[in-house]
Amino acid sequence: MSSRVLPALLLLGLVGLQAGGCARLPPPVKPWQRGYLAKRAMMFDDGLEGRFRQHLFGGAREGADGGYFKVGGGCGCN
Amino acid sequence: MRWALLLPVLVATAARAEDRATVRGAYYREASTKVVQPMVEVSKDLPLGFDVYAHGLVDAITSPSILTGVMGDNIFTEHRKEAGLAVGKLINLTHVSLSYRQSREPDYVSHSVGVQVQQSVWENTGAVSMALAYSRDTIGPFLDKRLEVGFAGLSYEQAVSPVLRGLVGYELAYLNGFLCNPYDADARGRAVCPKQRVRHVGVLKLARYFPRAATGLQLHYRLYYDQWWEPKADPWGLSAHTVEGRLYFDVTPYLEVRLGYRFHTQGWALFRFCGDPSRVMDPDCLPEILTYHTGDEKFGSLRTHLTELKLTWEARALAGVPVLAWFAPGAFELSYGQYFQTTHYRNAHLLQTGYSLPF
Repeated sequence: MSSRVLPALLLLGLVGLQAGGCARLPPPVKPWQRGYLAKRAMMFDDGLEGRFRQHLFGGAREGADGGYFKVGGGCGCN
Repeated sequence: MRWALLLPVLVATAARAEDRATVRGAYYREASTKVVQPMVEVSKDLPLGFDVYAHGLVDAITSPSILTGVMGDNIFTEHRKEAGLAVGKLINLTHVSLSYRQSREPDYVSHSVGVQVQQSVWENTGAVSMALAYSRDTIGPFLDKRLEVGFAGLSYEQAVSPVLRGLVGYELAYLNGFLCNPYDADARGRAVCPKQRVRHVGVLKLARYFPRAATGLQLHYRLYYDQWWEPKADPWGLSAHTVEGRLYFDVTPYLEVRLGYRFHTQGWALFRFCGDPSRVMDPDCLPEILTYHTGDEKFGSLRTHLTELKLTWEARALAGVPVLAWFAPGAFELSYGQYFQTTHYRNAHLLQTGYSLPF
């Protein structure tokens, strides 16, 4: 059971540390410095392209679905 | 049926929808299977902080399959239709959304619901997202088999500097029900798969932009491990590693080239490993595990490679062209990839094209 819970606790701890630090530290990027962050190269959201990728890789041809922040179906798709 | 059914439960980066319509087409071709998939999605901001997202797609899947009661391969085409809707609301720095998705094909019907909460942190330079989802599927030629899936995801995305962004995420999924492909069979007959599966997935992503070179780099890593719900005689134990790298070049102010490479490697699910008669005496192959068997290669050890080239063209050059000027605010995409597999499916071609229009 601990092997299931440990990763989640670790992430929660990291988030908690970050959130706590946010209250005191200035943000790492000011609003006027965010131009490059808006570029496609800096985005992790693949939209419909990512959905098809999960379709292909996660469901049909590889047996290790996940990592797309979405749930997949069952039967031979998993 | 052999293709994953997906719940469009939201992506960590979208705090709120923007007014945008996107159409895409995907074509996948390998020796045994062809998939054609048109897709459309629309997102729209609404008054009072609400937003809405809808999508629809059709899969046309052509492949040989051993149909029920027929001892031979037949070529057939089946269609899967999927539609989804999500409604969200922004409350201060928190975005909450609810989603529903339905997918239908002759031998698979799936209903999914989900909720996602995204909290912007550190003066909007980061976001913590949590997603919960539940799906209920009916499976098989007579739709007499059931599968339930519970899903939880947690991610944290942060802009570390003006040119560096990172994401770390964890997902947990619990599957309970029929987990085989209903047409799956091996030398022992119809496949028998475990009824439960617990998936763990960890994700790490980094994006770095190099302004002088007008170049961006993304690195993704994914760790996968699954197990049975019960602690002993676990028939799963499949682990996988996936790495991906993407290079983005701004060739001109309006044209971007993306080069991508993805590598996936996975080990055996134990019940697939033990399905080989030569391993019956293996000490890991306990009698409980030997009750399961499958001919499905994706439960076994395999490796895949994907190389891909993608072009994205901002269509502003069309601004002065009669009629075509209507497309000028949007962007066209075209990508081609080759997918190499160590399984008998062998190599595949993947072609995608799309157009996205803000409005």
